[in-house]
Amino acid sequence: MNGDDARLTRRVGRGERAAFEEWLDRDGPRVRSLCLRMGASPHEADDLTQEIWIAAFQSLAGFRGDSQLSTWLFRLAMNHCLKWREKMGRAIPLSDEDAESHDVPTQDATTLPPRQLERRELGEQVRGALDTLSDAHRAVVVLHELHGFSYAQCAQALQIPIGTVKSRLSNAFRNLRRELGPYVLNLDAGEAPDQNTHFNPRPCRGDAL
Amino acid sequence: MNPTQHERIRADLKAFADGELAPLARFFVARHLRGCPSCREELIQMQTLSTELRESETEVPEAPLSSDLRAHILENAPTTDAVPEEIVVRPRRISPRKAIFAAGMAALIAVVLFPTFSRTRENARRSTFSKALDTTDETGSAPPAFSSNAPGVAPAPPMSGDSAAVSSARAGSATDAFKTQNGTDANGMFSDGHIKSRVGTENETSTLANGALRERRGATDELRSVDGAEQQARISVNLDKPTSSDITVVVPATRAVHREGSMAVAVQNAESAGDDAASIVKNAGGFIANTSLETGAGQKRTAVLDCRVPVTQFETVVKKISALGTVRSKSLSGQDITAQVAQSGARRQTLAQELSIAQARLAEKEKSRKTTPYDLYQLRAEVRAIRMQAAQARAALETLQKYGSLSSLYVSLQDGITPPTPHAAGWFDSLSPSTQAAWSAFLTNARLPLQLLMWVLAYSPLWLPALIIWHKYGRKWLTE
Repeated sequence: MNGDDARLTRRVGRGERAAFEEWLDRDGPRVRSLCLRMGASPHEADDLTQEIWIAAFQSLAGFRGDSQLSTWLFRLAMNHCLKWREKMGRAIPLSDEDAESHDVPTQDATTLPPRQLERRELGEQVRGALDTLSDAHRAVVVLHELHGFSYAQCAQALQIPIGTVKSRLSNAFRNLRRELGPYVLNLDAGEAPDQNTHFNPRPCRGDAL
Repeated sequence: MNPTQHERIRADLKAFADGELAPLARFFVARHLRGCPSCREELIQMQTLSTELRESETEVPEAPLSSDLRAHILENAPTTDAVPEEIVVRPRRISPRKAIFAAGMAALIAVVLFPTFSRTRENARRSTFSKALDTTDETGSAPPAFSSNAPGVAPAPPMSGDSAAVSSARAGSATDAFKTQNGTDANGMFSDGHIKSRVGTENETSTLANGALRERRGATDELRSVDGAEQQARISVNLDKPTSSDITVVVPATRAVHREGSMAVAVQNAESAGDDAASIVKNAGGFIANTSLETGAGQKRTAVLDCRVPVTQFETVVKKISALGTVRSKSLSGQDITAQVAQSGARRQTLAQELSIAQARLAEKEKSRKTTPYDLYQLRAEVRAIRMQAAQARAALETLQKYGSLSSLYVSLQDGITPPTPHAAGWFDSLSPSTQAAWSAFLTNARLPLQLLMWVLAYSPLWLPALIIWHKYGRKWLTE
């Protein structure tokens, strides 16, 4: 836990109004983004975000301080999202109305440049592939790949061992590779970087938050 | 390639790409990747997929919350009364598995290293102890020495330290037994001692308790320790007789320690070795009190020498005589007789003063006309008795001083060593001098690595299972 986070945690613990506003401005967009990535529509994401923050305020007394405040909040948010998905059913396709009201500015496909059009199609394929994952696999992929959580932070947020995070990610990526194989292979044919660079793994992201 | 290993590495590929593997597991995966094209291909695809996932999601920006939503959420923010007083930021806890693994490794290391350190400590203790036995203090008095061969002989440690308990019995006309408790001061004075002594010829019993000495037979002596810098003790003598007065007795500043020893040495020629031993004793300033040469079974001769050597030369003489042959047995002991010397000196001075007083009274009575012949007879008899006691005290003191300055050494030199047979030429002697030198240099330089290697191999039953367990489970634990 870095100094700013610890300071904010103490201020939140003291009940400072300004601290709540700072916390909300810092983590609020990410919580809403998490809801969106877990399959919620923008309207549903707003409702979920509000519920999550109210639940966080109410259960603030249960925060023991043994993890980052944002990690604790994301654990809460992920539990809410998983319960919501369970409640709504596993497959939650985006409706046309929702897609129109999505934060992504919609634009006529015919006016987009080919590269951007390709990106957009790939994004839709990726979201479709994410929908094929189980909730557990999707949660870990969203937290690690899309929110930049480390394995340890994923484990804290999902309350599972690090080894389980590792195996779930590995299995999830095998599924994603199967779903997105043609796209990935096509990209490999044209844009795959030098192979030697792939043997050096990325440095550990550690405290990404 | 081992399929199980291949599958395990495949499961680790994602963590490897994310940089989340432990160093050892990363090494294994990297090594596997060098020889496995399919895993390399899978790694590339995973990285590409991960990149595409992130880039596709950047299309969805993390827009700030709408003002309505923000306001609505903040309306539900708790007030100061509703929040906990203080959120304690706790340090991150260590994983129980890691803690158990670290504790196990620490215990293993402790088990392996404990014998080594304990052996080293024991050697150091022995070295210090042997140095203490060999050292002669600056004042010239010999240090106490005792032999493990004669456990019944009580050691005579220097009377300095936190606690010392000494009891000894000395054969002779005077038998002293003293006991010291709670230690003495740095100069050996009886600062807090409790001493009981009994002199056989005088049939006196005195007790020193916390520095005070009391005589049972009417006379009261007080022995108090004084400042250590003065290195002397003041003895106040209050006799019941009207002529009594206080006197000051100077206690020897150095410890008087009598040394005794006996040793049996196997030599080639007992007769010539006896001559050599005699010359060693004489050169050290001692003398031979008694000597004998006997011939036993097998025509083996034994020369026995009863030597008296100065205490300061005792260790030197023992070493020189030990060098004459092979020592088969050796017993050395020491006895601190400082207290006896001090008491004897005090008694001698007391009697000398009593004698002078008695003689003065006799002279006064002889001049007086009122004195009857019977009174003169009584006074002369008293003076005679005191003079006799003073002579005995002086003799006892001189005996004690000689006893403390001379040590006794009984040496038995036995025929027992056969002349060494000519050294048989071995393979080493057949080497050229340069090869011998090279071989010796190799052994000298390689001794430590060889010892280390032997040490590691000797403890293999301990570390080998640990290595196997680590190879099988440790990596998995750490990566989890």
